[in-house]
Amino acid sequence: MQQTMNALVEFVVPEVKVEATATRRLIRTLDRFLPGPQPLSATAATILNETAARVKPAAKRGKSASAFANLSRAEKAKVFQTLEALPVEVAGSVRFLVGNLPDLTAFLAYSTPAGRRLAHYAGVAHGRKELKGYWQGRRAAGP
Amino acid sequence: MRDVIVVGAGAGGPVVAKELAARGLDVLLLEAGPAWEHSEREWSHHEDEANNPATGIFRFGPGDRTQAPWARDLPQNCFVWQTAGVGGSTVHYFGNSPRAMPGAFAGYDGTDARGYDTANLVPFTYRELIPYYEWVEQTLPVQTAAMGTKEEQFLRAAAKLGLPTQTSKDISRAAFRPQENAILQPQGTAGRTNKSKQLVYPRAKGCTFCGHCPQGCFLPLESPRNLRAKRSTHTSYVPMALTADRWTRGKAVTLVADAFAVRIETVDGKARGITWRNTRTGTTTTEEAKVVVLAAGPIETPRLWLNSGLPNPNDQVGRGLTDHYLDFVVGRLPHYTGSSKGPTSAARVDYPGRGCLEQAGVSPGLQAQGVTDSDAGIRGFYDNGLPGGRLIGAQLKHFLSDVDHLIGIAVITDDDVALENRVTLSTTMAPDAHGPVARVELRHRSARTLANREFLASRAVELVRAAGAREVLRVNWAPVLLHMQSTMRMGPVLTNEAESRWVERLFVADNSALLNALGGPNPTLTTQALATRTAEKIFIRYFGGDPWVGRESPVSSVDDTVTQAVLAAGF
Repeated sequence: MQQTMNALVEFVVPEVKVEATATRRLIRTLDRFLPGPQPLSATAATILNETAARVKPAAKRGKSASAFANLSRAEKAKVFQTLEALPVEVAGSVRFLVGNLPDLTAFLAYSTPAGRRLAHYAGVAHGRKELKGYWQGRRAAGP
Repeated sequence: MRDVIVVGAGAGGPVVAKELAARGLDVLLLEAGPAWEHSEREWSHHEDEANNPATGIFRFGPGDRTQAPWARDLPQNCFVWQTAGVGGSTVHYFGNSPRAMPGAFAGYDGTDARGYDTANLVPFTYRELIPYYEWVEQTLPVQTAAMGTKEEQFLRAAAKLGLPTQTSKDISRAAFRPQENAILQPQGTAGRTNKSKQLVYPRAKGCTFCGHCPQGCFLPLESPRNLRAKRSTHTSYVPMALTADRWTRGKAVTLVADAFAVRIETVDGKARGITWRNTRTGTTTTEEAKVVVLAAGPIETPRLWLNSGLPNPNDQVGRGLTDHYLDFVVGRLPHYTGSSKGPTSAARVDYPGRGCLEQAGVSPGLQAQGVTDSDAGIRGFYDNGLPGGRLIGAQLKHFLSDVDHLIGIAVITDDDVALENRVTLSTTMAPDAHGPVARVELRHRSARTLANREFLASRAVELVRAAGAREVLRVNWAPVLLHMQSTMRMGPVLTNEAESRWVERLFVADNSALLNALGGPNPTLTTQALATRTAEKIFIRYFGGDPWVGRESPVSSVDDTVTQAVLAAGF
């Protein structure tokens, strides 16, 4: 599961400096989002790995224990394409989970200190010197 | 027995609570989430701490964050952005407070009258709602937004495209303008310095341009709670409700947080009270009231109705969810835009009959989330047959390599009510401690909705190009549910006074009472105006009172009398 989640982070935001923190936060977020007999991160990893094995059967026997991690970037994209093609009437919950994985991963990666630096973000603040005045000098709407 | 119990302290509930408390009624206000009594210490500007949907401070879940968030059955790719706690989703909202399109109301006779969701018009005239708009606009208050760099560039680009400036609060033609925001204009050092030490109240008043609207506004530092820049109900209506015995001759509202309503009590077909569960202790409590007002939001209000076994003879409870089928267009510019700074959204364009565009600039985590959430595949790999697509990998890193070189535009579609889009009780997920959980299905978009969205996305692309963008991304969002409306509609479910058709003394005062998507404008102000009208109807019908809107002048939530009341009450 760890390797699959790490591969997902690396797929979305390939940046060594954010991977460890983002992977840890991704697992924590998924597992806290919907507690159950099986952690949600494990469910997500199972879905990604089983689909990876369908996209490329040889991926089950690669360098990593995670089939998803053994795929190329194009093959990983194919995993998402395959899952997004599932009919919503029968696989709605899978579509929900899988659909949210890339953006949740991106949110978490760019919320880390290293992610904020990647975006050249000025950092959190109590205020900014950014006031430019009012459009056409209007401070209130007319009637 | 109370006079009134209000379920939910989000955008609408506190409006009813404050208005009726000001008339001297005994009001109990229940909130499922936390009270945020010390928000200046409890909230954080760091995105993962604030906005993480599972563990964040602003999530739809109990105040005890060692517990999981509350579950929903969401059987499609979508994201629900909702916050539990006093203020509800207004704690993370952007404060945008436009009035609705007049064409979304009955009696509209403009030349474009056929261009709206004509099967689902608000059952009274726009003119009737104007005094209630004015009452809320003065109470919050709503003010014309000041500009930062990103607004300057957005507005100049709109002018360059030949659009006129809109100067009125009423929308009558395609036009652009600075937002009318529930955000206090900057004064003193606010917006004029980066230095925290100089940004303390009263040297700084109003919006400090920190760029953290989605993380909750507790600024300027050391300001009284009712003088914080962004006018969430946590800052405006709730402090007024809790001190209604001090700033006017009313009765202070009793607020109970961590109180998840689990059943609407009825006797002889009339609402009689509420049973709620304390989310920290698990104990349940029942209180009786002469009138009950539901304001738990467009998912939880129908869930509570259905879990209470109340009548649903026409099967309309929960049906007709609209969400403005939002989309996101982002331009990458060769120069500075200040996208992560200032109010999140302070400029807009309205297209009657189509919807709206609004500038939206956020910090890197939410920005990254915004460009990676799509139903249209991954750019460069596959597109699911749809325009747009999410960025990942090197493309994502390149696009976000300087967050302050972006201009983001939220596409807000006037979407038609579709009965297939609905809230029901889930039969596939296990019930939680509050009963069967809500299932939210989004299954249909009308041809008009789809055409409106494409029209607006094209206009957004033109706009960011006119602003100087060299690279433009249209994301084609999967449904992002942050403007949820119309699941308990006036007409099919409620009377024109927002009272239940089938249970007397039971009213609805949140976005779910809206009959349609309002033509596209952000719904909060209209819900608050409607909630004010509903409070007046309750007072007249069940308490023998007289109307006050249009006859009296409202007291602003930033009035000195309120500040003194808030300070005396120890907030």
